[in-house]
Amino acid sequence: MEKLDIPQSTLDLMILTILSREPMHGYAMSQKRAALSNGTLRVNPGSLFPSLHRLEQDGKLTAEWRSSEKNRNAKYYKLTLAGKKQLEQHRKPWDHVALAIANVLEGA
Amino acid sequence: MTLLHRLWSIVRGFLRPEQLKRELDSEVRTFVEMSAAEKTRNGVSRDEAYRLAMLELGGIEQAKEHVRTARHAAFLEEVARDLGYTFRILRKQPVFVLVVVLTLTLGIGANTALFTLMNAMILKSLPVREPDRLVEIRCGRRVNFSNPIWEQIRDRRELFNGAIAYSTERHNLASGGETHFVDGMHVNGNYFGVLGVPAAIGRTFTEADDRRGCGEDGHIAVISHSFWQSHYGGSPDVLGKSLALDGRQFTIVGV
Repeated sequence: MEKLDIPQSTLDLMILTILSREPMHGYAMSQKRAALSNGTLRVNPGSLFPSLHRLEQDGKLTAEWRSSEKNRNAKYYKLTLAGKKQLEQHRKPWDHVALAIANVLEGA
Repeated sequence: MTLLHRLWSIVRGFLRPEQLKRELDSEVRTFVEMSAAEKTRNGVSRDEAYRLAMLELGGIEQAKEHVRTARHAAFLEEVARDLGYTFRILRKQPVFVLVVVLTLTLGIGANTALFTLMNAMILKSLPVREPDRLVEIRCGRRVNFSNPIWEQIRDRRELFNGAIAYSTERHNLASGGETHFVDGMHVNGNYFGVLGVPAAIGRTFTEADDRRGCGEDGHIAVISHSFWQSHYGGSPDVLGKSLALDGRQFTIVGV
């Protein structure tokens, strides 16, 4: 299957969604996302980190260092209240659009 | 919450750039190690796994650079957005802006003026040697002492390294005709010696000048630099000239 380029705002939305379940470090997130989308949405990790840091700077995420399940010190990202709000705000229109597009495609 | 976070991240960036750098470095390296470990488990050789992990990331230094760029860009965007917002709001309320600007202008101006005054009067130390060791003696509310009391204070050397006495007075400079007032002081003999202020030219007073009926030079005066400039044009031959104060002749011995 072809890999899809993901626009910035969508990448943010995906990051927020994944982190809304549990705090995670960068590698786990890249694995999780690949798994969730069956490998279709493979984002270059090189663009994952900039997004994480931008969201952290924006106050949507906080981060803390703790040891991972494999006893490695890793930076775990967690959603803040502002992050949760942004996720809710962006989630609804996204669902609408996705549904609408699916409907149109079905109808055609 | 958002604002606090933003401020904190900015402050952290300014205060501890080294820590931020270290954290970013170890975050990226952890990613590579985890990715490589996963690949090794899947049967790829160690070296090959590292190579693939690096490739995935697009290089450690490059990834770090991307993060830094994103951070700076986010910061600049933020600032630009805030500034734009501020200007739009302010443009809608020109009267308010005018009032604020005027208030600030006047406030800063008044503060500057007051500070300049305070600085000259209180904060700047006196132009003498060791101004911090200078004390003023009072007796209750009185700052004036009679000559016998002064002589007692002066002779108690165990109390002070030196004592000075002065009284300020206004003198008539003119020897006749129109009066011309000038501010002056009567001081004791070692006034300049105790304060540690040398004469610019000529000499200052000595203990020998300070006795009843005057020293051998008779009535003598030391003039200030500004008086020297304004009345004698800064000329060095001012020494030895006589100066009439309240009709009495004084000899200028120093500046």
